[in-house]
Amino acid sequence: MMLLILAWRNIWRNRSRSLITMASVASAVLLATLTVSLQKGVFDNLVANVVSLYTGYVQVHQKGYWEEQTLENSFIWSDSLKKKVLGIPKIQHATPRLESFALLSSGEKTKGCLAAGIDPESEDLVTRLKSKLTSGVYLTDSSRQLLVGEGLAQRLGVAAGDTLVLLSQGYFGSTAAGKYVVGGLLHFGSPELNDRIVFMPLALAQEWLDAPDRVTTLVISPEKPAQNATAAAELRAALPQSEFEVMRWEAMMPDIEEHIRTDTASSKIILGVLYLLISFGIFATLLMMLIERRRELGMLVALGMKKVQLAVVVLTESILLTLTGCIAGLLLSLPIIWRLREYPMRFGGETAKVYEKFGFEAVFPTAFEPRIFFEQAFIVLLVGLLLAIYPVANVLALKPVEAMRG
Amino acid sequence: MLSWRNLWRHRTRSLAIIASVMLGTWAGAFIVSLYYGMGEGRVKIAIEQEVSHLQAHHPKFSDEYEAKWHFSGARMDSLLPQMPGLKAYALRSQAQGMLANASGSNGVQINGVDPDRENAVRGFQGMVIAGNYFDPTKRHQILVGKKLAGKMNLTPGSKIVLTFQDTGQEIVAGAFRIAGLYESPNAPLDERNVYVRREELNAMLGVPGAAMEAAVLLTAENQLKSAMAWWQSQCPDLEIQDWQSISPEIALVMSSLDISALIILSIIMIALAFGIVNTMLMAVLERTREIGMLMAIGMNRMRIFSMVVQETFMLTLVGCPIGLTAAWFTVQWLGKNGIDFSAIAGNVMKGFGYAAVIYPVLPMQTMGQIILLTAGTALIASVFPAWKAVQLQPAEAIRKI
Repeated sequence: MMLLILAWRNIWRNRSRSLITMASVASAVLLATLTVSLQKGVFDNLVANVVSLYTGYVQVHQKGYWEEQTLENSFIWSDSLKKKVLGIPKIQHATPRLESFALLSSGEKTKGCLAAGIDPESEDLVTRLKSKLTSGVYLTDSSRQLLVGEGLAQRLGVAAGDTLVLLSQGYFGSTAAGKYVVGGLLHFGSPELNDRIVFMPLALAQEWLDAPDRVTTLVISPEKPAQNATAAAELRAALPQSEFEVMRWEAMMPDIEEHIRTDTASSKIILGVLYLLISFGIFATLLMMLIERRRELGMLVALGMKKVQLAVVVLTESILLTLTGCIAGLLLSLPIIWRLREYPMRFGGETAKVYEKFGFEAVFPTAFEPRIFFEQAFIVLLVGLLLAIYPVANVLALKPVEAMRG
Repeated sequence: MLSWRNLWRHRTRSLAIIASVMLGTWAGAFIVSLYYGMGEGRVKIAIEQEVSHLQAHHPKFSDEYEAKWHFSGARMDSLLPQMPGLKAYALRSQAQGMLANASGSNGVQINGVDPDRENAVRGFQGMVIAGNYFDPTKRHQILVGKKLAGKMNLTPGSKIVLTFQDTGQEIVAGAFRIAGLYESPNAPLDERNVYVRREELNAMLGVPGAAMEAAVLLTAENQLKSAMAWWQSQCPDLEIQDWQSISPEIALVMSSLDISALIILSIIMIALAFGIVNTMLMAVLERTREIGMLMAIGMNRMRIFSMVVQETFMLTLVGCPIGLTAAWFTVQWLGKNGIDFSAIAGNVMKGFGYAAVIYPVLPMQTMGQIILLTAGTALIASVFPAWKAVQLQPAEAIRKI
C-alpha cells in the first residue's frame, strides 16, 4: 500500500513529466484510432459508392439465378412475399427487377444492352435513379417508355422521344420483341452502366418478356449499411432455403472485395510501421524520465529501499500513466473522429475530377466504430505495459553510487 | 557551439532523438515507396496485359463502336514496324453483340485478334486457364473469360452463337467452338470480352483486311511521347491515345493511392512531431537547473531559445540521412524480393488489376521531399520545448533539484 502511495505521489510531484508521458500515450492512441478509422471509413465509403450504383448491398434471387442468369430462374413477386421481406426490421427498402440481356435497335443500328424492368418508386429509394435523369421524364408504374443510359443513347444516336426496338429471348425461350419510346436519358459515372443499361417499368418488362408477375432480382437496402450482414442473415432465415438465394455485395462483386483486401494488406503494413513509431515515442519519454531521475532513484536505494520495492513503484507509476494516457487518448479521439466522419476530408482539383468521372465524391470519411477505439486503445495499452519493463529492468540493475554521482 | 557540446554531454538523450527522427524518416520513405510500388505495379499490368502503351482508332469509333469506322490493316502492317521504340503491335477488329447458348444470352464485345501478335503485345496465351489457346489447324474458335463462362455454363469444347451487326447493318450470326477460358488481371473486363480470329470476324463484318484498333507496346515508357507524335504525324486521320486516356480507372486508382499516401504520411509526421516534442520537453525539464543557471549568469532568452532549436536541428541532421539510408536499403531489398500481399491478406488484388506481389520503389526526388518534410516537422516540433525553456524563471529553476 505504501508503495502505491509513493507511486501516486511521484506522479503528482513532477506534474509536467507525468503529463508528458501521458500525452505521448494519448497521442499514440489518437493516431492509431485515426489511422484505423480512416482506413475503415474509406473502404465503407467505396463500398457504399459502388453498391449504390446498381447492385445494392443485398440481393435475393431464385436459387441458382446467379450461376445461370436466365429468365427460367426467375420467381413470382407476390404480395405475401413482399410483406414477408419488408416485415424484417433491419430492411428499409426492397425493389424488384426483371433483368435480361437484349439487343436494342434504332433504325439501322443495333447494340447489346442490359434491360431492367423496375418498380420506379422503390428503385429510386434504393439507387436514387431519379437523380441520374439528364433529360426527359422519369418512369411511372404504367408508362410504356424506356430510360436509356447516355452512352448507349449516343451510340445509337437517339434522344428522348425517339422509338427503339428491343429484342431478346423471353420466358421459356419465346422471342420477345417490342417497340418503345425513349422517355428520358440517364447519366451514370461508371461506363459499365452508362453504355449498356436500359430501364423500363416492371409491368412493361413482364409483358415484353412474356413473364407475368415474374422478377429475377430483389434488391434490398438495409436501414444502415453496417447492418447488411444482419439483414441478409434474417432474410435467409425468413425465406425457404430451397427456393431462394440471398447474396451480399461481397459475393456479387468479388473484385471490390479483393480490392479492399488488398488495401487491408497495405494498411496492415502501415499500421505496423505506425506502431513502431509510436512505441518509440513512448519509449523515448520513459528513457528521458529515467535519466532525469537517476539521482533520485540512486539516493532511494542508498537510503535502504529495496530495489524490488523501487521497481514496483516505478512499474505502478508506468501502469497508472499508461492507463490514464489511454483513457485521455480515447476521450480526445472520440470528438475528432466523429467530426471527421460528419465533415470528412474533401479533395479538390485533379483528384475530384477523376472521382467525378465515376460519379463518386472525392471524400475520405472516417468510420466511427466502438470496436476500433477499444482495439487500438488496448493495443497501445499493451505496448505501454511492455515498454514499462525497461524502467523496471533499469531500476533492478541500478548501481546507487554511480547513479548519485551522475 | 553550445548546442553542439550539449549534444555530446547528453548522449542518451541525443541518441533517443536521433533514433526517433531516423525512424520517422524511414517510416515516411517506406510508406511512400509502398504506395509508389502499388501504383507502378498497377500501371505495369495495365500496359503489359491490358491496354498497351498506345492505341489508334478511327476518331468516330470510340463514340459509336461501329465497324464501319475502320482502317486498313495492311497500312499498319507496313507502317508500324518502322515506329521508333516499338516492341510489339497488334491489330484488332471489334463488334458489339450477343453470345448465346442453350441456357441464355449475354451482351459481349467480340474482339477479332491475330493470335501470335496478341500474345506478343499482352501475353494473352499465358492468361488461358482452361482448354487451349487458338489452334492454327482449327477454325471458328473462341476464347471467353472465366467469369462469363461460369455465368453461362461454358466449358472448352462447347458451342455458342455470336450475333451482331455487320457493316451493312444486317444482323449476322455465327457458330463458334470454345477453345479455352482466359482470366485477365482485370476481372470486370473478362465478363464482356470474347476473342475470335480477326480474319473470321472481318469476314462476317464484311470488312476483309480491316482493323478497328491498333495497339502498340513500346520498349520503354520514356519512348511514349516521341512514338505517339510519330504515329500521329504518319496517320493524321486516326485518333492516337496513350494508356492514361484509354483507361481512366487507372487514374482513379492512382489518385486514390496518392491521397492515401498523403494522409498516411501526415499521420506519420504527426507521430514523429509528438515523439520529438515529448522527448525535447523531457530534456528541458531535466535541464531545468542548467538552463536556469545559464539564464542567471546572463544568457538572454533569445539565445536559450535558439540553443534548443539548434540542438534539435543538429539531431535531425544526423537522424534524417541515417533513416533515409535505412529506407533506401529496405526498398532496395524489397524492390528485389517484393512483398507478397496474398501472404498477408489471403487471395487478393487479382480482380482489380493489381499484382499480388508489390515491389516498393523510391524515386530520388521523393527522397528529397521526405528529407525536407522530416526536417521541417522536427524544427516545428522543437519550437514548443524551446518556448517552454524560455519560460523558466532563473531563480526558481536553480532552486529545483
